[in-house]
Amino acid sequence: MAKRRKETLIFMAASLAVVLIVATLYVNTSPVLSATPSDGCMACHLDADVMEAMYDVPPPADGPG
Amino acid sequence: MGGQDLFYVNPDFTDTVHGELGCITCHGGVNVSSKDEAHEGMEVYPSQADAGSLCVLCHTEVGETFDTAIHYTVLGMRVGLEEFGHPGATTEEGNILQEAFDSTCYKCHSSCGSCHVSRPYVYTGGLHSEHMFAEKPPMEDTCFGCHGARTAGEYMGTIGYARDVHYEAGMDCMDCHDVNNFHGTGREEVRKWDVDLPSCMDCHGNVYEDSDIEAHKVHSEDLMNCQVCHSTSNNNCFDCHIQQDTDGSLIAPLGQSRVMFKVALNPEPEGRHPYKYITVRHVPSSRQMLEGIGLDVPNYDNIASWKYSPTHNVQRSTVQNESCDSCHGNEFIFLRESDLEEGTSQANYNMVVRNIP
Repeated sequence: MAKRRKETLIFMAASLAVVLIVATLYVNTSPVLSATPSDGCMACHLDADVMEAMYDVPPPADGPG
Repeated sequence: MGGQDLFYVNPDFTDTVHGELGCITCHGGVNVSSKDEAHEGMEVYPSQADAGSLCVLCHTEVGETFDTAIHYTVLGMRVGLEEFGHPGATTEEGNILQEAFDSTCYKCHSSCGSCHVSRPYVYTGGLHSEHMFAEKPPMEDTCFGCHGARTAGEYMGTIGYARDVHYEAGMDCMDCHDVNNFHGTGREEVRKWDVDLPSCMDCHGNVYEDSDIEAHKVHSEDLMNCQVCHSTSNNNCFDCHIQQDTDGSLIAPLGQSRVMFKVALNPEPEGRHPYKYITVRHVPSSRQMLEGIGLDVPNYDNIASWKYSPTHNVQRSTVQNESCDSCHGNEFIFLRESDLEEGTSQANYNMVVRNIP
């Protein structure tokens, strides 16, 4: 009887540990930033020709330092 | 280079972890296809604020150190400028030096995005890899963008007479410089020497003890830095100054520069740099550098304008290491009084080599 109770306790403790580990892993990997629809931006920025036509580029400098 | 090289986003980016967030999550703006409306309230450099606090939401480890990293704080320039006799002036609201610092020197501070996503905006700005995040930033587009006029330019051979042998062997900055040289260590880095910089010996071992080369055996480890024998001419800037542009804004136009090679006496041999002789370069400062904004530089004579330079164009064979006589008795490679510019800092006289070895 005592042996069975001990086994039950070990099983419960192990189960609790597994639940805690899974919960910790989930919290650590869950995204802290969520996605925002941006198809309007992408309509232009994913098109090389549109970008080429839209901006004039300054000449590169040598860098100051 | 055209607009495509600046702001075109590779469609593959949308499938990456960062791309799945959508543009507006980081940049703000409005989800419409009209340019002006879409860009309303948009943040071009979302990682600029608070040491990349947006990125740190996920990249927590970097966040623990980056806010004290010298690449972010540019504290070396701030402290260097204040030491000329204006302590606290670069952070004092309304002080002309604060305005000057913010509109010139401070533009060189980096954020997460200015290395991992885009070219520094003091260079060309724009995206270096079509917005694909580069775990290892491309040296030619990032390091060179800020350090191109001297260190990186010398390394890549765009300044001076020879490319560094390590560059020719395919190495980039990050092959020697540990990531903490960029992300910081958590300690406040006031000067570039506070960073855990690489040493030649990290790869080459102690050549003074383990080498068959006679010149290594006869010179002691603390006599000179490796570049005294193994580097060539570097870029020296002389008359940097702050002045008002035609529109009233403060600018620091590039002044006179000269490519030359000089070895000087080390005025303060210490732990990391115990050498008697060091390679040097003249840094961009002059007695008149703040005249344009009505300030003088009272401590100018206490600060040497020739500085230790671990010149980044290392060569196995150089003019000065060809033979003993190429260096010994060769007064042209040593800093002499006649090399000092008119009105030079008095501190420079401590570096003049009067008895050529």
